[in-house]
Amino acid sequence: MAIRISDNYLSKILLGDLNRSLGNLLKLQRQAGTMRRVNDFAEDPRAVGAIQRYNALIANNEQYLRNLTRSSIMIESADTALQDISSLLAEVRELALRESSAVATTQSRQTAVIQVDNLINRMLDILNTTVEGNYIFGGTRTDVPPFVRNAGTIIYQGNEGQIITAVGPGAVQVVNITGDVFMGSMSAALTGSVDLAPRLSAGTFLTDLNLGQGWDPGVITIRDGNNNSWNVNLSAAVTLDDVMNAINTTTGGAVTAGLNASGTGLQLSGTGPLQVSEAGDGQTASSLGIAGISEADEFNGRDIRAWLQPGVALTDIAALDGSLPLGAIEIEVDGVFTTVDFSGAATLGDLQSILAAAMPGFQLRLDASGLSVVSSSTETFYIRNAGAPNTASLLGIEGTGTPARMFGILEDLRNALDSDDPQAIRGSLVEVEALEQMVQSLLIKIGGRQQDFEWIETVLMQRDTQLRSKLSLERDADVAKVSSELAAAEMSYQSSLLVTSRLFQANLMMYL
Amino acid sequence: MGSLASVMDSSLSAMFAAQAGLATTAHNIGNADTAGYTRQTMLAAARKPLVFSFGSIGQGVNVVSVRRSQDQFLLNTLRSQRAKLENYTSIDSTLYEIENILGSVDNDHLGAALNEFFGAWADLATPPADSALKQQVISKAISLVTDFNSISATLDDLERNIEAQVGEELISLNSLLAQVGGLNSQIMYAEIGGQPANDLRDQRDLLISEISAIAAVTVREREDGSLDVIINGRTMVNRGNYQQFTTTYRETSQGYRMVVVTEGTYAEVQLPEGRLQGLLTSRDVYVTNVRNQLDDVARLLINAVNELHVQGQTGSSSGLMFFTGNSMHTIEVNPTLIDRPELVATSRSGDAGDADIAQEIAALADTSALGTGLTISDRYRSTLIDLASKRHSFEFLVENQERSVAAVESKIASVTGVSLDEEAASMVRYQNTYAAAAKMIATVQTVFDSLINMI
Repeated sequence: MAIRISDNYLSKILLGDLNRSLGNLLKLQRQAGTMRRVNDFAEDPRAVGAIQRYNALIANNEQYLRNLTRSSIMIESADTALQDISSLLAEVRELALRESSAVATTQSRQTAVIQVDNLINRMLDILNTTVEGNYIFGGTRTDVPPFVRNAGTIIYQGNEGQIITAVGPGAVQVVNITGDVFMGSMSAALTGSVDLAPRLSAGTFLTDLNLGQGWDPGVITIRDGNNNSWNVNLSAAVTLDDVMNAINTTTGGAVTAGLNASGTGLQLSGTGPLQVSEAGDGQTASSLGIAGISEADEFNGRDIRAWLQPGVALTDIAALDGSLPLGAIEIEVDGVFTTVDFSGAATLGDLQSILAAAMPGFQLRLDASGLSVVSSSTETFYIRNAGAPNTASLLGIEGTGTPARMFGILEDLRNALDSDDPQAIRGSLVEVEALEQMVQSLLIKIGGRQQDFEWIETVLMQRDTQLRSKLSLERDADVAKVSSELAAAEMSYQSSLLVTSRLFQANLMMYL
Repeated sequence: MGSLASVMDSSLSAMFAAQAGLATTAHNIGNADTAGYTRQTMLAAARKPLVFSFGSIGQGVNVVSVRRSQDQFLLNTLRSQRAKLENYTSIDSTLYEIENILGSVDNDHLGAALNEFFGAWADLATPPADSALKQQVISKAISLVTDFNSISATLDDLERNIEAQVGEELISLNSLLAQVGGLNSQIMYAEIGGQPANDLRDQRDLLISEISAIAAVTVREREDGSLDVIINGRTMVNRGNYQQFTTTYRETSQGYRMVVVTEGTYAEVQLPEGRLQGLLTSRDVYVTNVRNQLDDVARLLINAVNELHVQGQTGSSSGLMFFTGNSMHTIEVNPTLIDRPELVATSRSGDAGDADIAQEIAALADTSALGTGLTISDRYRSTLIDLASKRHSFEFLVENQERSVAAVESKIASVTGVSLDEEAASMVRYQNTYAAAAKMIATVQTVFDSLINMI
């Protein structure tokens, strides 16, 4: 039997169809209006999850890009500062080179002292560079200037903390250079204060004289009170003995050369007044400390003692007279106390090996006329006397070894210039060059970081593009598809309306 | 052998029957659009014939009854399907409300607030250090906390709305039950004569359908024409008597909550499917579920951020709790930090340039928290996806259920609905019958005239 079609039935069926058709049209119109495929959570739960996840990933990615941009200023500032330091060190090197050469005078060195002081101050300023109020070379102590003057020396009060910035999930980049590299890697040092230059002996090499500055070989002229005059050729001399023999031989005993009682220089004896001068335009007489005139029968030369060398016997050192054998010293590093016993030492070399054996990483350096203790550690260390005799005081190494190396080197240079000491200036020159190399390597490190940053930025940008296109795939409506579907839905709705209106109009009553 | 008078009587009965048929047709046409109206048909039967030796001669027609064309099975199916539909619709609309509270695909405010909170930490953690950014962390934290609090408050409002709706539904349910009781009495009275009270029954069927939408019922018809209405085994209407529902607050597994009880005895009612059950389920299951999940998100956030922040050092003071509270309702930014943002800790060392704590808190945005394998944002997102999936399946259920209901409704409309074509045809038929019967009477009159003229 055919189904009975009541008017109610007809309207229910047709209205139901109309509703569905209109609902579909609405959904498509909403997609076309918002250009979003998913407008409600319920439309596509899987896509909602994906959209939320992509949104979060994009937000995180943007955060990393923001971090990168913000932090790159740290790296750029460090780069600029290090470039400045590098050019200042180049200036220092040029200055040291100039002032250690023969053309330098006491006057020019005094001028250089002022220049070095200025350079030190400029470096101090540069190393205390701030970015938005943050000191960039102080490790994580960014709120206090990392380099400050403390009782005349420059100390580092920052730390070795790395400042990092997040550039990806679990990925970080270091953006700072800690100021301790200007200190620690150049080691902590304690420079002695006692003149330990050994007494001269006949066997002392002429090249060691004048605290290692050596001498100028040549010919000297000696006159005595009897108007005798001799040209003594010392060009071939190697030791002091050679010099003394040459004088004794050339003068035929009229003038005898020997060492003075304190062993600090030469002494000539003959009939006064004795006069020694250069025979050529060299500096032979003056470098032997005997240029000049003495009214008496004795001519006492100035102090031309040799520098310190490992082979120097402790007994040859005037400052230690009456105190031998030496006792022990106490070294404190980071709260640890070590006693180093020097009682068995006979030479400076013995002192060096005893210290190296007792304190690994520690080194006793023989400077021109004194000792200094250097530690490879960045820790400050303290050296004290340990019982009688006061060995640390005797050796001039009692005190605090601070790790202020870069400024230490510059201070050394300054002092060397001030004391008109070309040998020490040359010594500093080597250290300044090492410093320059270190700064260069830091610049390379910073450059590498800048490249890393650029690379990471590219990666993050690519990732952003990828994430956005994936998000768009999940979220956005396909314009072409939506518009064609919309046209179809509109057509279907209109035809439903047409059919419904026709059917509702017609019934049998109209035809009776 | 029958007389002429009996022929006239037969014709007259035909005219009466045609008139009754026309009246029924008119009633049908008149109620074509009346809700719950069932098509009526006039039932006629041939009168008892006069029996003669040569056979029997009919005596005309009698109107036996006017019947409703109701299909009780279809009606019961419709009621239970509608109860399901109402159940799903209530839950779906609650889920829709929750979705609106949490935002939309393009306006995911809590997700955005979480992102911005962690973003503020990331900004604070990014060198060069700028302690002014601590204020921003606090501001973003306050926005986040405010959003949590307001979502919590809005969910509370939603629960109260649902409970208010339950109250309103109960009022109409009670009124419907009372009306069914009243109609039972009227029908019992009207049917004493044995003829069905069609229109009263239509009204009662309509009321019971409305009750079914609120709570599914089973019905049992008694011989006296009254109908017992039974809700989940509890007889709510018995002849003219009826029972009512009310609400009270009871201690439940989810705390002190509104429950539906019978009036007078205060016995708790296990509701069958229908709008009421849908409302209570959406409160007890779906709102509670979202609340629990968001509480979890808030707790995770509070614990993860606090655990890191207390390790921090600011100047001479050690890190404070960043958040207080333990749910999205109670979560607050530590008031001390609001007053003194400088106490926001960024590092364990307390060094101005150190930001390890800030880095680690910022990293919570995309690293898993507390060994759950999910980030805090993931936890929040899974709440959204869970909600979206439920909404999706309920939309699907509602749509399907609407189709089922529409199918049964169409079927019922097909059986009980008025077809104007059909009524027009009946009208013509009854009109013709009436005209023919009248013609018959005129013919008998002519026969009488012939007879009289013979005399």
